[in-house]
Amino acid sequence: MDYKELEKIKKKYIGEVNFRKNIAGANVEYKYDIMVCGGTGCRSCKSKVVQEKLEETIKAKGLEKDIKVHGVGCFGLCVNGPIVLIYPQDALYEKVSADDCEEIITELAQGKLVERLLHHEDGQSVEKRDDLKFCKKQRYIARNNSAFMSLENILGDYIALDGYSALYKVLTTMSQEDVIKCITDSGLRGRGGAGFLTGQKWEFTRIVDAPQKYVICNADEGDPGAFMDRSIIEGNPHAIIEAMAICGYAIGASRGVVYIRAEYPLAGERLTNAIAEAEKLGILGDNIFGTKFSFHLSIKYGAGAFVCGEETALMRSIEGNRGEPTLKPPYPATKGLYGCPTVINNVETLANVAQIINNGAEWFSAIGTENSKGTKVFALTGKINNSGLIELPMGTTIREIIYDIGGGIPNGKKFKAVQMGGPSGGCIPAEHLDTPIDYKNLNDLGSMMGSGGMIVVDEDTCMVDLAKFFLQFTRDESCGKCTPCRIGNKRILEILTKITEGKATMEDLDKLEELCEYVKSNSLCGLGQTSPNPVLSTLRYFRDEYVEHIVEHKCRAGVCKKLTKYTITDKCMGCSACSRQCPVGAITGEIKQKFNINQDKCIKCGKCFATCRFGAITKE
Amino acid sequence: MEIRLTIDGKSVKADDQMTILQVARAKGIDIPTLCYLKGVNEPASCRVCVVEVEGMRNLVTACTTKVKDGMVIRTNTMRVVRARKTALELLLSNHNKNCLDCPKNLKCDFQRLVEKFDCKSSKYEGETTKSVIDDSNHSIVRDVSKCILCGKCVSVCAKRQGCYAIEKINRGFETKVGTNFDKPMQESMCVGCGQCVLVCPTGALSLHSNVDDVMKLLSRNDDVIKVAQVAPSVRVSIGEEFGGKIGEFKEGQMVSALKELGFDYVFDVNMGADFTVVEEAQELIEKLQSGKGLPLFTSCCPAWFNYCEKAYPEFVGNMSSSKSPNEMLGSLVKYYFEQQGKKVEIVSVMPCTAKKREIIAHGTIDYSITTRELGKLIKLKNIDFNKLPESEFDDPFGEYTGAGLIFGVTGGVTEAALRYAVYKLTGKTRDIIEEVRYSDGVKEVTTSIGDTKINLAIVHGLANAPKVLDAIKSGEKNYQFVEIMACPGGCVNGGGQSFVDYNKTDVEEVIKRRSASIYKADWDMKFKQSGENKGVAKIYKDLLKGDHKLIHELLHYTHPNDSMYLK
Repeated sequence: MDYKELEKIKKKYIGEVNFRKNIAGANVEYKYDIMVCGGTGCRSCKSKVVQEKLEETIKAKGLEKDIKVHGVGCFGLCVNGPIVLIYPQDALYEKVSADDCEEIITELAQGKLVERLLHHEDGQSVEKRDDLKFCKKQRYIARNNSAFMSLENILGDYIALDGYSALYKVLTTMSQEDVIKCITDSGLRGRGGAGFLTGQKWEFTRIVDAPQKYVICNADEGDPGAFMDRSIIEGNPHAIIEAMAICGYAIGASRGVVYIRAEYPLAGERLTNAIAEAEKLGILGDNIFGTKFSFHLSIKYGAGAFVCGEETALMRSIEGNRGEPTLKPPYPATKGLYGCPTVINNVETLANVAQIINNGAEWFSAIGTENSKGTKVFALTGKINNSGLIELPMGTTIREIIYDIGGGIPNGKKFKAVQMGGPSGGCIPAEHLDTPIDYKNLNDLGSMMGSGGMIVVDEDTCMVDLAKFFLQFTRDESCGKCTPCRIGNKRILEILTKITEGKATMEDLDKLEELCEYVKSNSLCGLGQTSPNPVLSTLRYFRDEYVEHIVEHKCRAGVCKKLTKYTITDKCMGCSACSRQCPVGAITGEIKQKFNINQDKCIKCGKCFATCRFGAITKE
Repeated sequence: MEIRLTIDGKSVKADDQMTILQVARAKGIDIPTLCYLKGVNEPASCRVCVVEVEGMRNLVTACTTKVKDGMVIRTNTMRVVRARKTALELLLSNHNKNCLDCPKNLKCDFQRLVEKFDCKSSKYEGETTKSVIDDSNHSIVRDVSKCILCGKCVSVCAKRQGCYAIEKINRGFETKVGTNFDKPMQESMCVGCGQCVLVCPTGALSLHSNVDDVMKLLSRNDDVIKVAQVAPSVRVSIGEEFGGKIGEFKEGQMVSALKELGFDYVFDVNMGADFTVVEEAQELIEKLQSGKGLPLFTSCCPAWFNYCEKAYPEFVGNMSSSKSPNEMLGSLVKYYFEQQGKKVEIVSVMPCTAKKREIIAHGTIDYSITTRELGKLIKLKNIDFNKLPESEFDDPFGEYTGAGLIFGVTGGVTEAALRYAVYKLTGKTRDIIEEVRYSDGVKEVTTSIGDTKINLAIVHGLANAPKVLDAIKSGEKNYQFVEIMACPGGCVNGGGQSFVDYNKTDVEEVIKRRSASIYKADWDMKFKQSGENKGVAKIYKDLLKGDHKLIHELLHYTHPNDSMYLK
């Protein structure tokens, strides 16, 4: 493999890519390109069937020469999947089913779009993908180009889009120090949690003299609701391979391991294929591009433990031991995998690397804020209209994300808070909506960037219950090694449960706070040190809700069942509808007279409340 | 490199490779720990040893933090005390608090700290781990509700013993120490060595106690003869049960105590060891001459026997057929009294927990108790051990040579066998064979007996066994005789020996002191070679009458049918 060969591949496929990008240099013989999302989200709502049906229809109509169909990586607007992109119009169809395929092809054969399948905003369909409010403010670096690469020809398209040119550049024109300087100057920080400077991490590893070093890609994405890493690997696996090779060169490592969770079978499969392709082409292996540099990559599947996303636990897991964090120092840079110096970078971090090399450090550092450069991918979920993946320049405000990109809160409900950074992060209330997102601002607010999970909650969410949800997660996912995390989190959860059941006292609240602080400052690893954050941040911004639960035995969101009380008011017409719905026979009464709920029997399922047509049942 | 730091206001010198804990302990400052076991288990997970270091945001664990020049450490601020107390109270909140009938009551490290820090069990109440007692194993009993997950047992089982019988299983609050697939202990790789019990800070790991059985036996007023027989290394540990220094040689008092307890006869397994030497050396000589069945493995350590059967069954056929000293003596004692038409019940006192399984497998001896259980019995009987006069073992099984005594130390069997073989084949005496003594785990010795050169390997600590066994398997090494003792240091550090506070004395030091005590006694002996034991010769002649068939029946296993594990 040399540069000429790379150029040859690029030449071969650039036409198709340019066609999709709708830019000059498109030399294809067909007229239209349909790309069906092949991400896990869309696949789970049968996008594969849609793709096959499209191919079938085209064949039946004899349009094979005019219309091509491809799979494509995740586009981000997952809530409306399956997503289908039409090129060169660059139109986006959503919620496409196999039944729509006939119409899509018939119309497309005449150059027309199916209006009803387009995304609608304010009652109007949006023809161009870039005009979507969801897209307007986005800027793609980590998720760059994934909408233009065919899954069936992922390596070819990747190379056509300048893939592996950064690796070539690094290997043939740059020294190890040059590479690290470029990454350091770009200001790229780890996208997996703590936000450590990537260049510095590489440098710490480079300067250690050792016969064997490792590059690890952390793809054990465990935060509930976060799936950016999965989507990147599924749609653009070669970006990770290239970045790992670049890192390997920079630090002097000849081996890399991708630690990916086994719950990501599609990502694992695509990455495995990509590695095989790259090896076949000679981009991975010995003497890459004819240089002295050799790099071998393997995959290790995680067994589904959240804690294995913690770097030391991850390395223990690769080594075949129980996934338990070990004390730092020694840091992985000096003593990592099998005791060798190791760099561990998260998927999204790595996805930026090749582009920084190609476009220069200044290009990257021009994007973002003072302390946080570049873009960040967020997984927007919860009570939000457009849930999915978004990539934004650092410094975008939370308000822009919620209202412009996310399309606001469904059903006209009021925004209450957004939980950022997953179970390790904290909630941010409405008063801070205008905060520009960067590492520092989020930390100052008692939250964190984490992997970029954003869970939006509205007025129907109980903040104590939300904290309880995350503590349930950490109680289950703690590795059980150190006392504060193993038992402390359990006790925190028990106090929270007491609060939500109206059994707690104000002393319990003090105990809760004290225990949270203890677990935070005494746990062994990052998991325990951040696990009380959801409690601490909800206590910081929504303390009154806690007090309300304790003193007034009231849950204003009506979520905590033990505190909820359904009563039938005088509005009751005595129709008995509620009584017939009640699964436990708690409602009794005589027809045309007021019915009553036996509170001892009531299981607070809310069926009566939903059934009553006269608004006679109150919930408090 | 020598550095200076301040600890609790005092300026001290230290080496920069030391941890805060090491420096503090060297200066007499007590920092409590629960999970720390030097060199074996340093997970920094119990969070009880936290201290304050100036300039650090959070408290740090003293057990793992290396000292630095100019460091200012405070080990006793209220912040530190509160953090320690919280860690202990959290542990307490998930601990089986039924301390009064816990085998570790008043000897429990955790209980001691709970008392010291004035912890309240009511501080954090909530769900607790249910008590599930696993007593499937013949030696060790586990109760997860008493476990504080310090991990010492897991580390010792893996790193020192190489058995990997136990590991932490499950996650989060459900985490517990368990076997593979949470099977009963007896189905695990556990060999019953009891090393885990020695390091357990609570009563989560304990032994099957035979104290009650022995009490019952001794209180019976019938014509059954009650015999106690004591292993070599018990006498250098029993004193510790009564406040004595580690390794003190207390043979005389021990015999007196056993007699006071009511045993009719107190016999010495050392003599059994002399028999083992004679039989095993004979076996070795025969095998060397025939060249078959080599290497010959010692079979006197039951934990090693278990291990061989579980991990290297292909070597079971290489095990010496000579019974362990305990079983040899037991068989002889039984035969001796039966010849006189008397019934006998035998209690063996062992440094060992795996012996509890060995005696069940062979069915000759009635009970096997540990050094600790003997200590308990002596205390129950209100015997003031330290004031006891010295007595001697009873005839005809009380006479021993140095060779029998050194069975208690790693290398001892080899040395004893060599002493005998050299004498037997050359007529010369070689009393002290230094080259087989003291090793890090594996010792290889090439020596000659007359004209015959033989390669020996001596292993202690089962984690070292695969090094030798794999080398034999691959053909890389060619040994004629291999001695393996499961416990590091041999029986002196057996799982049934007296508990030691490893925060004060490292296990290496314990082994050294107890071994030295045995070697000194050996040095002082007039006869150091088993062939010189007149008692042994007398038994062969008078009791066994030189009857080979009888000798074989009483003193040899007919293995592999005698397999302990497979039964």
